[in-house]
Amino acid sequence: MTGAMTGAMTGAMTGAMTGAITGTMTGMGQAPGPGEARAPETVMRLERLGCFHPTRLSFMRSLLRRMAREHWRFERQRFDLDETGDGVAVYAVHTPAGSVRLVAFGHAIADHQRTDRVIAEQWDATFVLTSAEADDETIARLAANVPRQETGRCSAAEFVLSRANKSMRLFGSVVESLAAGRQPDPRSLLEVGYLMRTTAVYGNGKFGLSDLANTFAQGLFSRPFEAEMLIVYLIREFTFDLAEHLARTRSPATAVRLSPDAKHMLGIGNATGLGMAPFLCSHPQLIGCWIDARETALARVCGLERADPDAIARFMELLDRAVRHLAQWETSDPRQHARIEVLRDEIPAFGRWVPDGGRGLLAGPHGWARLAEEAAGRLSPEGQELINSLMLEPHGALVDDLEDGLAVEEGLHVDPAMSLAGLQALIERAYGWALDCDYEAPGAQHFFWYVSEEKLEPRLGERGLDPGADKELPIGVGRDVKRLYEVLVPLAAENPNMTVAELQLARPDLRRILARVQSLAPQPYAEIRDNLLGRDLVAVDLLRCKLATFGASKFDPKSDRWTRINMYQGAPCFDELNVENSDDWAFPAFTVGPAPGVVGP
Amino acid sequence: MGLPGVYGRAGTGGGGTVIVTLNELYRESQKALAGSAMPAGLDSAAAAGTVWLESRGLPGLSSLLGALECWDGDRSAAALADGPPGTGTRCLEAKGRSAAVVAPLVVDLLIATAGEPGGAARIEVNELGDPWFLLPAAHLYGREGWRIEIEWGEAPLYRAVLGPGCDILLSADCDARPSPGPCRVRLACLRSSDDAASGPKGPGGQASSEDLEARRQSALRLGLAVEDDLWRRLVSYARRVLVPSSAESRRRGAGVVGTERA
Repeated sequence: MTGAMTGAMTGAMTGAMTGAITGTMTGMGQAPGPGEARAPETVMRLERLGCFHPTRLSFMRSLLRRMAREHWRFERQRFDLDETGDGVAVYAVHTPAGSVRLVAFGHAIADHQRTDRVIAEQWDATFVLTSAEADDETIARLAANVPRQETGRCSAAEFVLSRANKSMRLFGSVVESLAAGRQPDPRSLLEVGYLMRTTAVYGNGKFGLSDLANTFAQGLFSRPFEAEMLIVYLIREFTFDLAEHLARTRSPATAVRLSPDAKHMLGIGNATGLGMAPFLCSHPQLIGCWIDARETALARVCGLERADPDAIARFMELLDRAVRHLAQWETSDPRQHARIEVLRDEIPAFGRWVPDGGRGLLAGPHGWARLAEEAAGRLSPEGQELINSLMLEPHGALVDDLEDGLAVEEGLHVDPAMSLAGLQALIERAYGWALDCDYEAPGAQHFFWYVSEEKLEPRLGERGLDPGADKELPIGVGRDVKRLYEVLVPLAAENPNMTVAELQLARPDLRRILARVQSLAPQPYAEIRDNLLGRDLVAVDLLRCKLATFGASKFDPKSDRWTRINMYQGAPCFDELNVENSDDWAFPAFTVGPAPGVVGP
Repeated sequence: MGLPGVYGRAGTGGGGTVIVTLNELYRESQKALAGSAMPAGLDSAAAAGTVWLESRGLPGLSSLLGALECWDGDRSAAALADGPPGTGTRCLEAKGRSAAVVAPLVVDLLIATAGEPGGAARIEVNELGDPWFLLPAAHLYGREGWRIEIEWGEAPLYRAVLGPGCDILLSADCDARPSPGPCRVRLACLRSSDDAASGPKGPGGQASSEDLEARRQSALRLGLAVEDDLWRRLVSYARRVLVPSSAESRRRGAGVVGTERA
């Protein structure tokens, strides 16, 4: 499995839970009511999370807005690559909080050495994001380590480590076209969508990189995965420069540069697998915070008494773009393909309905809430989530402050003085979903999660078939809550005033689930309310939720366990970034004219 | 000062050191504990405790490894039994177990007994190993307004007071005995009127929370120097959590041949 964003954030983040929805949650179901957030019973189901699309609060979107707002300046400081692509390039990013640099190492490797698997040892390019000045000494140090990736060592001056491989379908042909003096075929650009794809993006203290607390303390980054999102954006620019450089060295007299329109069609690819999936379970407070922000944003929009005409117009404009985006979203995965087919039918139909029934509805009281309600009644879950994302777009002034609450100090703690009677009531109130499941039923514990010896990353095994069930990761939250409950009930009946501290003194094996239940019960969106061990688990839904939160698009599952994605497709490049275009690349769609021209998004 | 420098930086074992990040230390410690069948929840607490101690120049990793070597993989063995009742003091029998494993259980019991910040409670634990690990467990509550005093040993006497206004104060000559053997430990929740803020008056000096925080910041900026041998032993324990991939899991994974050339 390749390409996981593996920067974990254990216990090191600062910030506050958004917490804005407490007491205003609706139990009504799939749509947020006026000023009410959706119930976790609706949102925190795996199938629903697996339908998420990026929103304006997604990390890539937030980062580009910040770059533009703070007038970040980009500087290509060095580009010493030879005609094979071997060498080093340095890009500096100057921000009000200081400068960081992408140091990119290009490597000429044979085709047979190119593999996207995590266990690969050679890549077309390797990268590091560092706060160090890129002087000769630093470059030498990084050159000795960054190309080795997991077997090298970085220092606390480095924030993120990454690598990428060329798309064999596209990279060569783009270079060839540019060398011949013409723009690449836009249909090819659209079909692949990137020149290179990352196969890993590491942060937070891995391989000697800066611990997240240190990264945050330096003042430039303060949001989750912000450094990771920055390096991917910079890698995208490097891929353009690399392709243009190779074209120029091949044919200096005829070579042309990639047109801005062509660049817009190209993001950065990534293939992400199970390594990322347990993150959602092992960082419940963080996930809860992210979903809370999203649902709070929706609730705010739905709480508007009147829909602003400009916002309605913008929504309609983006709905139209989304329809074109859907037409350009391809996948070979049967499940996702079927979903896209449904979207291709229902979203245009919804778009036609809005001006008739919908525009009148939008113009009435609580128009956005009523629109969401209509979407919930008319559309598939994936269609509903698309409309929800679109509804946020015209409302930056109303919701963008929520991006400041996307970080949280993590930690699951026991409330030792709570009585067993109190604990029982808490579980019944907050974890009813876990108690309702029969984990002894056939197939209910079909899967177990483990850490692979080969790749040192989480994997999924089939119980009774694969080895390692004795080393199972604690992903079966529902099952473990029910086990706790079954121990608890008779004890609480006998001694309701006994404390949790006394219980764990006798049963230390229950500590993890005790801490989890007590810490997360007040956080409505912290737990995925499904059995993550059951036979019907579709693990790729876990990935979709997190990747959409990052801002990825064009989900292209390759199995039920990993997916390809595109990052930053449609985003402005750094030589054109401004406040206006930094926020106008949601659901990118491109008008592909007769070759060689492209127009869009 | 009387406290050790960042543990291992001096290469006390005579061998080399390796620089690791706090996150690497946490992850390897947690895996080592989980791989040794430490009760879930206690593993992450012990891993966090190891980082807490090491980043403040206190003996976490060597104590953790000692605890792992004594751990027999019996999850129920972390349970603590009551000792003989004392006057106003709960007594527990640790029977040589390490606080790396049981510290959260002990401190939680103290807090539950006190009831609320400002409430009073006392606990004694007999034959408790690695009492240092009580500090990170108590520090969590110190941040919430509790004032907790921990004492162990006799010559020297180790004493720590954690909580608002004092946060962390240590006394005694810690250089000499970074990891004392099992001993009797006394814990108390202090009332706000109790005289703790004046700090301990041990023979070997003190370290304020500022001192310890400065060390933590240094560890964040520069990494932790850990003795090679300790790190190798930790990684060896951590590998116990790993499971060989099956052919099927490899087949269904990402980046398999045939898709990666796209």
